[in-house]
Amino acid sequence: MDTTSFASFMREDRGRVLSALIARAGGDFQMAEDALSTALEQVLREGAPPQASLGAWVHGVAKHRLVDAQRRARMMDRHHAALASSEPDEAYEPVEAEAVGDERLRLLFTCCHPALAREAQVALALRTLGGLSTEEVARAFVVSGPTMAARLGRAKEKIRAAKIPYVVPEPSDLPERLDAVLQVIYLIFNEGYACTRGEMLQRRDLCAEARRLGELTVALLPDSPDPKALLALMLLIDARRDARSDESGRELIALEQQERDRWNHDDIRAGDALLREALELGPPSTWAIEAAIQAVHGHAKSYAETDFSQIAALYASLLERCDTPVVRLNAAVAQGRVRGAEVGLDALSDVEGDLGQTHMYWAARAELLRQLGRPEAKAAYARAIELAGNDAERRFLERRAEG
Amino acid sequence: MEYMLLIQASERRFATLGQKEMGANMEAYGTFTKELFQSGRAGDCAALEPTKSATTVRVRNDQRSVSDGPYAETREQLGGYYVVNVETPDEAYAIAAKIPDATGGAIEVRPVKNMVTPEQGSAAKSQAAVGKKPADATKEYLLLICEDEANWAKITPAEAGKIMGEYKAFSDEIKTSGHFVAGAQLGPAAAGKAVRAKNGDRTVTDGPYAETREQLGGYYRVWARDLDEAIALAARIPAARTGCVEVRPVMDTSAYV
Repeated sequence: MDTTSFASFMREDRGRVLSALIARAGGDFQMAEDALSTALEQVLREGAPPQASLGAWVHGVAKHRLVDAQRRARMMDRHHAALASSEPDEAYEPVEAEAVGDERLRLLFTCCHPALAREAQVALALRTLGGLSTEEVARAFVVSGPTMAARLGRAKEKIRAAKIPYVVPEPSDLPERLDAVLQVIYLIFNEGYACTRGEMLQRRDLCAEARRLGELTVALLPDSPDPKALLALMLLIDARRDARSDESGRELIALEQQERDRWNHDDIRAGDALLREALELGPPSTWAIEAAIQAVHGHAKSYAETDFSQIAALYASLLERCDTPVVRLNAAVAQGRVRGAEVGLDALSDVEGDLGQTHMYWAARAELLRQLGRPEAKAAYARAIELAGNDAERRFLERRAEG
Repeated sequence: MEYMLLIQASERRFATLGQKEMGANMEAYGTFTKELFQSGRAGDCAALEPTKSATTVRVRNDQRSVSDGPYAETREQLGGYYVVNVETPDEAYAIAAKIPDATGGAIEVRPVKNMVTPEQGSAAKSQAAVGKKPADATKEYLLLICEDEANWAKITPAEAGKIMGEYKAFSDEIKTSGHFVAGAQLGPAAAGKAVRAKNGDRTVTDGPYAETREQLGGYYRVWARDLDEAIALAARIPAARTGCVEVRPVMDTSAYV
């Protein structure tokens, strides 16, 4: 098997095949994963028959391995002296995608079950549905491979020991559970968009993974507005990826200075269309309002021509549904654009209690002070620089402080 | 009189044990449990899956909140329990000292204020009949009631009576639905003792065993289909609104007993 087909399988089919195997394994993640990795090793070694599609063949071999493992487990339970042989009795048969249901929705909801720690949810979603290796997930969150492997292992063990069911939640639980899924996806996107640590400003691969998970959720829940709204939000933000940092990927370019012809206008159009669809399906969610804000930026030909009144109005609307310090901070900045920096500073001081220990607060404060030509801007930048976790953001702030 | 013997042992230390030592530990518990049942003193008992499989359930403003944990900052964690029926407190301490993890760990001995019993044959009319266990309820969970005991001092007797009525209603409902296995209301944490054993000698020190903001006030042991159903049951317990309910899966030890 050549590396391209293998890589393609990992990307496209692995999640779907794994989700089906977990269903067959009665919700046992570890058993299903073991069957799949054994099958992959075997197919890598022996190859697949020319007439079978790789995905279908791997699925067939894995299913066989799983049935085998289950048979052996039952035998050990009954303390039988003779263990089942490790060779299968029957020949392998490919399992075509169309022949089995798509169990990825069950997998997605189970990964994001609230009984799992948030960081475990994110790791599991990326590993099982995102198609990332354990090493890649570890790098995404700046921990070592063994640490991430342990985190994944604990999550799977909890699913087994606590008997977290492998199901799509009941309609009555669905809104709460779906929101958890969307939060996990958005967390991954945010980590890729503005890395909390490290040299690079962005991790394109994480944003791409989040988009893929977002697309999957939309495809699996076509009548639900919130997945569409989240995907719209991500597309509209991601559209700016090429303009947001310089060629090296190390230097941050603020929205004001971005070259708008480097924005991906296909993404902006796609985001718009999804947002419209979402709004047709239900009342605006917080995801939809945030997407609408990004859409206003996406339509503006320049920073100066941006309709900040509309943005401020959208933030006011967002605050009604979701009054958090971060939203209040963003609303304050928007107010500053519309009604002047003094008003912005006033509104910003509201959140000093909650966000005074974050670089984001001090950066916003510094920018407003700078606009007013106030000398306190320097101290504010210094504070922001102290608190910044990401090198690119720190250097950006240093440049602003000097300039 | 009944006492709940809570096994407090270090999970971290347990994780460092080899196969042989772990096997020996399980054997020791098997022997202890058998002897306890033979003595006629044994009541409800269970081994619990480690705390990393625990889930915390709270209800605030009618909103349910489910989270992983608790993340035990204490040096020792609850690994299991025995409810024993004895004539004197000293008997309870003697039994506690024989529990394998009394050596190396501690056994928290709490007086039981009130054991929730399933109806037996022609029991009092006020006790609801125990329904048949639902066919899909194949997993046992321990629902630990955690709240700040001080809360009880802040409410009127009428309010306290109302809450106890809610507990009674919950007990009756889960007996009727067949989910109920056992339950108890415990006396105050300050009345508890910690029993430790070393080389055959035992020490008994005054409670509370651990200084925590919330204390264990009681428990329910239930059958459930899966964690989601256990969480739904936990959310109906009054303490979920003022404190929290910790959902711990019961460990299947059928191979050892």
